[in-house]
Amino acid sequence: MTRYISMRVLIIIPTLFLTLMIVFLLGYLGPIDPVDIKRAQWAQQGVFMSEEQLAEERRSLGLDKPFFVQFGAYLGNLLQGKFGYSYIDSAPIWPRIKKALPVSGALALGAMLIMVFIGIPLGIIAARFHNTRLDYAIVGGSLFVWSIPTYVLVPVTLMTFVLWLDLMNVPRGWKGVWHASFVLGAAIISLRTLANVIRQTRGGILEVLQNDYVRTARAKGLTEFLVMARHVARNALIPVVTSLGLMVDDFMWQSVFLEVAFNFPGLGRLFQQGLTSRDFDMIYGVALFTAGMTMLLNLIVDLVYPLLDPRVAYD
Amino acid sequence: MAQNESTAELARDLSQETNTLKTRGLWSDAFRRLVRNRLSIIGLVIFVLLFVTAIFGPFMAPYPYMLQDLERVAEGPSRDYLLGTDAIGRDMLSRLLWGARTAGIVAIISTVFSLLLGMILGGIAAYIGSWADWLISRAIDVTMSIPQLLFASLIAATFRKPVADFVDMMYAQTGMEFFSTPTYVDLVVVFGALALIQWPGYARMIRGQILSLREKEFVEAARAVGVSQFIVLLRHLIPNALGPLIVMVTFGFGGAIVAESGLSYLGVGVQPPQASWGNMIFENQDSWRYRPWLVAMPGFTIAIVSVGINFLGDGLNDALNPRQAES
Repeated sequence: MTRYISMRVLIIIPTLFLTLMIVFLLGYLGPIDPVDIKRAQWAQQGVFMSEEQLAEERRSLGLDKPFFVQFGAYLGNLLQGKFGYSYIDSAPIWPRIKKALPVSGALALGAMLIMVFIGIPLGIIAARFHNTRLDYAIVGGSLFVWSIPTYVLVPVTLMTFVLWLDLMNVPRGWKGVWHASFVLGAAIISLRTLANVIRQTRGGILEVLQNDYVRTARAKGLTEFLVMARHVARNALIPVVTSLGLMVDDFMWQSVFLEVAFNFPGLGRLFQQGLTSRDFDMIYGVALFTAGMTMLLNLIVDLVYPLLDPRVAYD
Repeated sequence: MAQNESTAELARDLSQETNTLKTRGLWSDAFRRLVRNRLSIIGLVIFVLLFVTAIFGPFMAPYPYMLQDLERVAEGPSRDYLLGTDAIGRDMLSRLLWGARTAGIVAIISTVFSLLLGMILGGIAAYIGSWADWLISRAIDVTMSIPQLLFASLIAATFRKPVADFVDMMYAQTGMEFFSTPTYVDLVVVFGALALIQWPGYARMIRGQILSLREKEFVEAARAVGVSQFIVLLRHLIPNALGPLIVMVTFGFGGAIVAESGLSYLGVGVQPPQASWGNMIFENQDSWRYRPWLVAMPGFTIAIVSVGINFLGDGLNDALNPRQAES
């Protein structure tokens, strides 16, 4: 077990390192030169920097150093939580991420809850009524929903709920987790993964149902509910857990579109603002943070997995 | 699929004996299964329509995609403008048709790029094995563990200007006509970004397919009777690996269209005034309360195309990999 854990932790280190390297390379090769930006900003105020001043600025930022020295300094800064500064207003990036995190976190948690309490039951129902109309409707419906991109889903839901059904006002800004706009938002970003969970649950249960121990459980007279809950669902849901890591990735990408449309001050909107204003350090920071979170969650899933399924080999 | 072949062969033997049994090959069998599924036929029709529109759409478009009629801004559907006009007076129908071309080009080229890359790397990993396999597998793991579309948008945002600068520089140096219009720069950046996130899926699958098929009895039998390695690859490995690959390419194709529109929506994909369904949604998004059809039309178009392609992929999956779809 210790060996398994240490292996998993060891594997994540080169992955994280390579991710950092890629992000740093993007910034290194990328189109933005911070000194050039500073020069332009000063020039706007009528102060023109000389060549020596530019070189001095370059030196003070460490831009004249070799690639790996710069990369090392970048890593050091990251370890201290310094994600760099926005090119637009020179404000540090980390506090912004920290401020945006609860919003995105709440959305992801809400979506996760919807997924668990709606997705898994629907998957079980579809498997229970295998090859009936209900099954086809659930499976077909989930593929349908899975196919529709969030940036289409958001305006369409808004039109439905605001213009057509007239159930709510236009969602503008963050009003806490008890507001209708949050529930709607979490539902929207959960939809794609919801479809995945339904299909996975259904497939898993159909597979488990064929096992002898299910027949034994039925033969000894357990109620259908107990058979499903004790013997089938527990075994069928293990694979669903493994896809949690992928879901974080998906949630993040969906919430970019959602937060833009709903004006939620989360990580997604931070990312989109960075993209539109070409604020590169900002988008690198947000992407890096998300990548780190995704990997961390994958690690946790990997570590919890053998606890759920003792059959998983530790090597 | 090995069993399929052997049963097909058995059937062939039987029919030779009795002369009454009709035989069906793997592909015609799959085709029958596909046709029987109504949803996948709808998907196939949408898929073909997308191609036809991508090729001929711009010729059928009643107006150029950036022509503005400033006297008739943001109108509903009318005789002159069948689907109405957008906020700066451009014909929606024409822009949708041009958008189909953008989506089609991006989907085809990025899929081809990533498929080629995946085939080469997956093939190398499976055939050479040892260190090459280790290296490529780690590269696949790393790429797949990074949030995919987030990184695609990062790459698209970062490399847009360098690529544009490069094209400018080439034009200044060579004066070639090819480099004078940088409109395709967006497309190149989007292809690159999408190919970069899509190749690991293909590589992993091709590697897995080759490795598992190589151990199958019919390949061993072919080797044992002295069939050359190339013929084994051509006649036994590739046809058997093709089914899952076709399914994956179909889903990848739909994914590429959605991803391109997503990048364009965020402003790092195809830039206005070029028409892309994604940037059409973004441009008109703010007016959804007053002129909902402007958002709804490109939105429904993407949704229909994406749903259609995914239903087709699902149908192909059931048809080509029958044993996997049994449960």
